Amino acid sequence: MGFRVNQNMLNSNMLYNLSKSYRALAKDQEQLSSGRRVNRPSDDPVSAVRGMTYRHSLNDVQQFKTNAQEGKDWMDQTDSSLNEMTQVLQRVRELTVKGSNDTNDPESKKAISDEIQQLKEHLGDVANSEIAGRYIFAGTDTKTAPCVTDNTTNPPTVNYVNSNNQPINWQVGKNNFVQINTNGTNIFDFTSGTTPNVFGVLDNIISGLTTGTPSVGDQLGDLDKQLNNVTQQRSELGARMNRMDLSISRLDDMEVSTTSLLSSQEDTDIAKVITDLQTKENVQNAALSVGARIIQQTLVDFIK
Amino acid sequence: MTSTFFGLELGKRGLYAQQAALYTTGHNISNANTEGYTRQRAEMQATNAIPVPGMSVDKSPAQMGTGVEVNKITRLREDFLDDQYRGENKKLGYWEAMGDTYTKIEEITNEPSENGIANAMDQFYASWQELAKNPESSAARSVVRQRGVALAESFQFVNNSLEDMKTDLDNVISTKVDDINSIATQIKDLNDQISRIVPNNYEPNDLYDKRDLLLDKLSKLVDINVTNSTNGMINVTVGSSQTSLIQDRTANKLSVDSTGKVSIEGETSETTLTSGELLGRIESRYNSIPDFQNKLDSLVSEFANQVDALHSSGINLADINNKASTPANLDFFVPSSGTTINAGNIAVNSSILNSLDNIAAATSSSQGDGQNAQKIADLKFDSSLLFTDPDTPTNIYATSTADDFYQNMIGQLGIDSQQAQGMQENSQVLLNQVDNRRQSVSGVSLDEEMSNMVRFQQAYNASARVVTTMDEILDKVINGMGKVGL
Repeated sequence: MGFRVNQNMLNSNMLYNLSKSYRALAKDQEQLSSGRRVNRPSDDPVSAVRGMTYRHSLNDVQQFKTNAQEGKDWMDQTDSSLNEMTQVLQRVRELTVKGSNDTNDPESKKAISDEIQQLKEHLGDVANSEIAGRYIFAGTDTKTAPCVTDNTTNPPTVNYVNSNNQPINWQVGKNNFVQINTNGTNIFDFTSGTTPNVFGVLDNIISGLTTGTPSVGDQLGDLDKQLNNVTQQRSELGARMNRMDLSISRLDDMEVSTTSLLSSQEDTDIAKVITDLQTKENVQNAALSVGARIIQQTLVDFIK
Repeated sequence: MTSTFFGLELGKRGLYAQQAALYTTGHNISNANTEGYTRQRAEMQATNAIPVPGMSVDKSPAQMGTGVEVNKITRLREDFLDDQYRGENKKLGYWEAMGDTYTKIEEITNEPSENGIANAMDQFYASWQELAKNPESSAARSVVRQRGVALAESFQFVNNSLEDMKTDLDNVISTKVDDINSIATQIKDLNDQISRIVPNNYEPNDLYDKRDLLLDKLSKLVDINVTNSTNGMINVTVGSSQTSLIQDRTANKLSVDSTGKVSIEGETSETTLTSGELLGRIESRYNSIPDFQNKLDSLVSEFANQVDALHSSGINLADINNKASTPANLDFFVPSSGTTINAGNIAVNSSILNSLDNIAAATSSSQGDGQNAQKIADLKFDSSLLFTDPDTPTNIYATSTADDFYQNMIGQLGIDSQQAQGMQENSQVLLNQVDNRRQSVSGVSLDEEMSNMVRFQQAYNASARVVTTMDEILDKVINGMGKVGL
């Protein structure tokens, strides 16, 4: 006798296959509704681990990008402060050239020295530039004003008191740190040979204009040295800003590529799953209708 | 020489035999849906022939048939298929238990997702990055503290869930042991009943069915070896045990101690199981989950120690404000109980919870210095972290970044889980195949029973007709003979 097949076997086989096909449908449904191909590690251990790696990388890249953009803001702020400083010094230079001319009467010299005094105090404000409540020219002493204006004297004196020249390095890549601050001491406390710092140079000019010593015209050299220094610091800052721009565009690219890698590991291929689902639905329907036909009839129905 | 009424006897035997066959058919049909039922067949055989004398010789020239009898009612079953079924059933039980455990761990760890430990660690590192950029900001400090708390809670959640799973498994194991012992008792009782019937030359088919069904159930729980004993009884041994779980009319208790060792009453040595659901639960409870916990503890302890080492050598805002020259030497993570940090007790230092100024972001006495925070953020890329087994520190799991180590844990979990699910599926398919073959031999087919019923009914009718015919013959002999011409 061959393989006996009886009703219970048909029943249990059909139930097993139906529940198997329901499980397959549930899997597809989970993939479609969650939008993810890997919902737990056992769905695909390799993709799951890769997905975790890419997610870590993506988080890193996004953090680095935030760092780079905020760093860029800081640098932009520094650059515009230095730009302002350059303008101030150029105006001082014009005034100094004008003031060094002996044809000026004392009143016009007084007017010039007053303006330079104002510009000096303004330079003090520039040295105290802030970004989000932090002094950008104070090294890491970001909560202490690097420049102090003493209003008790007449004219008020402006002194750059900060001595902290610590760099602030922000991370824009795994091993890539960029200094985002510009050393305040290198700008506002820059001295060279007999040249005093920028406030000292301005003090000398004011003193020359009001008292006649030192000679106003002799200060032009020192002023030019300060101007050159600012220009040099700005060009150095510009180079770092360029580097930051490059970092940002590189990080943008990485974000896109990492996101797509993550997606390729974890995301549902919707077209494929829907096609599969269609096929499985057909099988399911066929199984149900065949089952309904087969299991209802036995010989009992035909023997009367 | 046959008696006068032999024909009636012959017809009666036919009636009885066909009736017995019809009853058996009815029994089969009634039990078509009974779990574990084996179809039965009334085995008919011709009764002993008697010699028929010749006209001229007194020795018998021929043997004449005397009708039919049902000599036994057999169960249509193959032992070999039972063995196969039980062999697959224990594997199914084992892999179901393992698959169940791994799936639950996968659900607990919830990876890959935005809500697991991996992401909590990323966010923790990111908060230090932000603090490195904004060391003066109490908002950034507050984020670091919150992310630290969130990370500690993530570790604790996973650990507590695993502890809950273990408690749950303890209950499951004790329930399964009760099941096994209850089944053993029932089998022992059936053995007893069977042994009273068999010596009387009866086949206790339905008791056999009940016992086989119990053995099927038992085979899913533990790996059993069934041997035949006297008077239709069976003996059952479990795993490597020399002492039987069921020996004729006695059942020995199976028990599992608090370390997961299985033993049978009356045997001193431990019983080694090779398969079955009980083994799966025990391995889950005493191997799989503790292994995962050990690795998690290793991850937490190394990670927290590294963070602490950096944090305690950094200078915090309180130090800076107080112009202190030496670091406050505060740990970021502390054990909430005990002395070493693990996944169950990791917590953020209460000094830090009390004051954000105690977070050490700086390496120098300067508010805007975020270098220490940067160092902690850089731990993310430190591939020299050493992960060792907390039970035996000489056993080194890996030297890698914390992220890598955790990813490997998840990868391994995924592979284990995938294997368990695959094996479960395979065992199920094989079990279904064997069960189909067994059903093919033993299952009731209504079609077959219906056609048999028609067959037996017709034979019964024909036998009745034989009786009628005999009656007519006798009528002729008794009432019609000697009346020639009347």
